[in-house]
Amino acid sequence: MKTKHLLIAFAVTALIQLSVPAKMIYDCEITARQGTEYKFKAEPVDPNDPFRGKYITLSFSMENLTTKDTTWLAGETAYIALAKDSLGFAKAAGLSRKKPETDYITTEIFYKITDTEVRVKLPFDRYYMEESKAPEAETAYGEYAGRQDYKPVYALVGVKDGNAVLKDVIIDGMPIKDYVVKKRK
Amino acid sequence: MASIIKELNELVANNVISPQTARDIEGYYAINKEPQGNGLLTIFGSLGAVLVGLGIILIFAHNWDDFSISTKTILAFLPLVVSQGLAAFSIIKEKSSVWKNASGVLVFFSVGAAISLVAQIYNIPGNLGNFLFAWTLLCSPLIYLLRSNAVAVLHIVFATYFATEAGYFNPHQPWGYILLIALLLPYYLQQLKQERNNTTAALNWLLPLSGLIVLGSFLDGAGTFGFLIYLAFAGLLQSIGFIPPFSDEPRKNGYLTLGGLSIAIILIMASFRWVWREVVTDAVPGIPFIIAWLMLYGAGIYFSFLRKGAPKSFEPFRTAAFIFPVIYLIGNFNSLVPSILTNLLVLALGISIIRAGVARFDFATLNFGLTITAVLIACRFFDVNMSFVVRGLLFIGVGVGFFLTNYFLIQKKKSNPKTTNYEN
Repeated sequence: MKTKHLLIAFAVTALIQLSVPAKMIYDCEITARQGTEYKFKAEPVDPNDPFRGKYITLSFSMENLTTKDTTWLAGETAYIALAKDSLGFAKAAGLSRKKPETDYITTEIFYKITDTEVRVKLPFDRYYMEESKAPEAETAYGEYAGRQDYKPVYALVGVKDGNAVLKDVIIDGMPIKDYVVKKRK
Repeated sequence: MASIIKELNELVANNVISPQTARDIEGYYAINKEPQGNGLLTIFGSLGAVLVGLGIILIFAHNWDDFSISTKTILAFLPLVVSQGLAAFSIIKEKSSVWKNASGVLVFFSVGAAISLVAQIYNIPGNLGNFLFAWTLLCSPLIYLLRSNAVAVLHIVFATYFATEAGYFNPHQPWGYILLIALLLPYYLQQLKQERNNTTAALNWLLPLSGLIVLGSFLDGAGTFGFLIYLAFAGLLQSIGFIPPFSDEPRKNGYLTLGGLSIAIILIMASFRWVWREVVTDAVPGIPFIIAWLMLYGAGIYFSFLRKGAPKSFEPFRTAAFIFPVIYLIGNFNSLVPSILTNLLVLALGISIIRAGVARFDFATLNFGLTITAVLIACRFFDVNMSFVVRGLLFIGVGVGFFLTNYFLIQKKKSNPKTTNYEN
């Protein structure tokens, strides 16, 4: 191959390589800026990813859903229609195979608990944190959960066209990374 | 080299040399353009780039809280753009393979770093398998564009990482692995024809090793039929090891050695009685598994016909691999007969390897045969009820056997110094 052709092929490769992270940013920005904000009640624990660093895994109360449909199979794509309860937290208004008219999130059936109850995995269960803060966040949450004045910990999520972007995790009314710093003092 | 190529055009234009001669000269320089000593520099340059790339990823993984999203976004793209610039520069200026390999490796890790950092900024969970697959796929053109063995090595390593992550730790079969390996094959075959350097030899070891690691991730649900598929694959590797160019250089022949080793390990595992108790009760394997086995077995036999050269000491492995299916068939009806037959097969394998080692004055082969026999005897201690005294005596017997056979071979070699020594 001539140098010129090689260079053109390389330029195409380089553009594709750049476009993947760029497309990821675009999708997330659109959802975060234009999407409706929902608060998902959550509980954080702290694991590790070899490439992306430390994060807290969020476990949501909305992950167990009751349904009248007994034919769901593990691995199936499902859409959860979203609504808000009287306190302003997100709640599931329905689980279907078709995209709902209202705001919804795309998810997958993780496994069936009973014929009328399924477990789903919400697509925003990781919140990446500075490496020293992630383990502290888990401990801080453990202490906070035992307090008398406990207010639900929640994930602030932007939702648009089935995409969801986790913007922040709020504990005691403040972002979890600030809460960890406050606890240090 | 660029100046010579330019002059070639002029010489062809003035009818001094024929276009064919010009192509031959061009081909010659394409293969032999690297000065001596550059090979080592390429390896260290690439290793340096691997460390720098991994360092960048680790620094990003710290997660810098104080930076704004836009600063982090710029940081995500910076290493990628810079390393792409270096790679483009080495293509335009036709730089040495040191440049091409090092910049290729940097681009490889920068792609991973960029995707990782964006995922971190926007809290994208994504599963590790998909991430590794996308990353490796995005970088696969670099192997061809930069003619980089270092990127080819990374490609195999990351394809294997992806397949183990997606296949062993998740319920899905990692079909993407087949695609990734298929993308590499044309380059690999070309390298085999053109170059005989150490990095091509590294690929000769890495590819079969990767296949052996990943194969199991496709065998979920195959039950004990997996033994047969693994053995057919190991037999195929051996058969490939018997054809040129692999058969010319035993030390650069991962196919022969890894294939032989795998056959020995699988057969020793199959010599346990519990395996055959399971074979009897196992359901008939699914059609896809039977097709996969037939294809691997058939390919193994096909390559056997193409064999040329290669040390004969490896022949018994292949024979054992091709006999085993008959024993497995008997195993569907009875558990005692096949376990006895497998034990005899491993024993025969061990003894023939020892004989081949003695006949060729080859200590590596001799001791490999002795090890197979010793491991077989040791394994029988787990499922045969024997008195400790008998076990002890057997162990002493095998140990003395090791000393004596090696001693006699040394004596024999001393009295016959002109013999060749193949150490496989």
